[in-house]
Amino acid sequence: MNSIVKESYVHTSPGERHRPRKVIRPVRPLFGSVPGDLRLLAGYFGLFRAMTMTRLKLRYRQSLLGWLWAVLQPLALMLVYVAVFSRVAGYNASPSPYSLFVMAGLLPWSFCSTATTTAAAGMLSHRTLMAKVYFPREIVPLSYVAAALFDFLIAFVLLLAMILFCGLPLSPQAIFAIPIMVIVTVIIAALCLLLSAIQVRIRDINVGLPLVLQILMFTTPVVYPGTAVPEEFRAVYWANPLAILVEDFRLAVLDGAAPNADGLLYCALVGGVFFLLAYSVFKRLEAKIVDEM
Amino acid sequence: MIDVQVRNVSKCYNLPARGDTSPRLFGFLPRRRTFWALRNVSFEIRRGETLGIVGPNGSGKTTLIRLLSGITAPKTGEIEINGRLASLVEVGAGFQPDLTGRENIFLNGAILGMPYREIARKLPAIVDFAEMNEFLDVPVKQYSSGMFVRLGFAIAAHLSADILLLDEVLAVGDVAFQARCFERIEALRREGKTVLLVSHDLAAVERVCSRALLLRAGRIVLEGDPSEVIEAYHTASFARSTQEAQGPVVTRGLTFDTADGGPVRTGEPLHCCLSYEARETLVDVVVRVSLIWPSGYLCTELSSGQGLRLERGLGQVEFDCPMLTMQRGIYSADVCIERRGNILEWRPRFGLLRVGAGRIIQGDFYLAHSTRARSFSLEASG
Repeated sequence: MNSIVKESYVHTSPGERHRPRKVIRPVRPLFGSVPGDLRLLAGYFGLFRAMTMTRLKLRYRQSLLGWLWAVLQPLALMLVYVAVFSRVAGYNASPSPYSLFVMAGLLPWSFCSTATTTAAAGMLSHRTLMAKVYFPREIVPLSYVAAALFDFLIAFVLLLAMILFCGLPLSPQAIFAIPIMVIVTVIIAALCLLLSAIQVRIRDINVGLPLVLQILMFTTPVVYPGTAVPEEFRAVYWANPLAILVEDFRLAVLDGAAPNADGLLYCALVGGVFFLLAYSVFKRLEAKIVDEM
Repeated sequence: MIDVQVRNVSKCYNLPARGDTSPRLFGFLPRRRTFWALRNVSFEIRRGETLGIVGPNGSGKTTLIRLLSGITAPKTGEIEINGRLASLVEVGAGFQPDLTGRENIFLNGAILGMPYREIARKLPAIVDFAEMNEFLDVPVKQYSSGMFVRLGFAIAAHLSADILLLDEVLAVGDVAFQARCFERIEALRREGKTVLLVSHDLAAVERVCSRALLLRAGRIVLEGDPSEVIEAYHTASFARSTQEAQGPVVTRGLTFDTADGGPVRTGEPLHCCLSYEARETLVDVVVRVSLIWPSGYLCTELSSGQGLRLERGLGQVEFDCPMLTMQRGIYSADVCIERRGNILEWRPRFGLLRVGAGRIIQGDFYLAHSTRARSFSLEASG
């Protein structure tokens, strides 16, 4: 036994490896540390992967239907909305069936709402772990975002299957769904970082978040087309990058329309700035998270 | 070469003011009081050194470990760390009960900062160290607590860090496993790793560490040779409990030595002397000296038996053991004087028995024995 144990650490004799130097000070600089933080985060990629895998494994372990749930949830939600809205006049403006229309809107939206709700609550459920071991804390909210993204992918495959089943053509423009979802993920990741850091201190977020998400959903073209928005609200309505992205996603996948470049650029810019801001705020609060828990 | 440099570090926590546990309303922020967990602490750990930190509960040991591992930030001061640091604060903290042992090894290794391939390479060694081959694919929630802890330590013990922080990790597992943990720490030391050990197990600190710090109320009180620091820690702990007692007899001192006055060792004779002062002459007295493991359990005791007579004034009660069979370590001694079931004097943690390595033995006790070899040759029997 001993021989095996020894063999496994022979390569780690001192001086063989570069020794990192780290200085811990009371307060971190606001922006200057972002590149270093990202480098450290990259070094912990293994943990990010392991945590994401853990979430995916745990979610459906010891459940009868298992992975079917990832498909059943959006499907059931779609059926509800179809039952409620399909008879309301003016909602079926798209050439495709309303069920597909709702599904295409629900997918990016439920990714947003699942990621934010789970990530905001996630920090507290890792309390014991975080009090014992250091790892870059942003891994916790980010792994929830990644798990939600995985669910999205499964549901997306379902959507594509439904489109083909309905006999509709799949336009090559659907490839635009990828950059759109990348931007959505960046924005949602930023939101999750911010919420999870603040939620530790202000627990009201956990209670208020479902309400806010519910309101946000109806200010985003999820169950109705963007064209249904009254003229006087449009300027405000389309300032929300999520509204643009959800609409673009559906247009690209269902109608085969390429998204407006200006709109996409605007979203990417807002998303990038928001992420940097959220990340540096998160890293500044990071060391206090354990004390507040 | 200095691996860890701590300069003037202080850390405070905001606690809710006393008696103020009501939930918040808008605008009425809770009143907070400040609790200083560490005040102006400065020290350094040189490369390859094993530093022990001892101190009573609430003296700031855990806060110090948390600061070093980056879990929280100091209020003032600066900490400089040269090298990869890994901390084993509580083994198995990151275990997911629903995942199997194998899955948890990968998850926990990643939490401790090990890359996936390194964990995969070390998996056989980890499993071997934890002695849990057959349970590898069983969910961790079905593990016994011992298995849980063993697996946790096994993962952490195979970290390839330059600096290791160990907080109370030796107090787990059975005797055999603890022995292996010691071996592992020894091996790490021989490799030139820097180790910081925080423990209530004073014997472990004395055995493993090359230097020790004594923390009290967030300050470093003493720094130096482990045995001196432990001695001081003990003496200071007694000082608190030596308020003047009101009973008819008061203990004054307790010493342990060998018959010839040398250091106490396993296998040597032990002489124990308890001095007392009696206000009146007492008869039918029983004097007991209880020797206690570092873990707090009673190890054994010296008892005078029934019917001892203590004369008025100053005096001594002596105990003689022909051979000390206790294993090396540090034991604390409680003293109890009673008469016909009534306790006249009881002094917990009154003295300190330090047993050095004499006859080297494994296990807890030395059994006095003799050995001979007999051979049954074929010719003799045929």
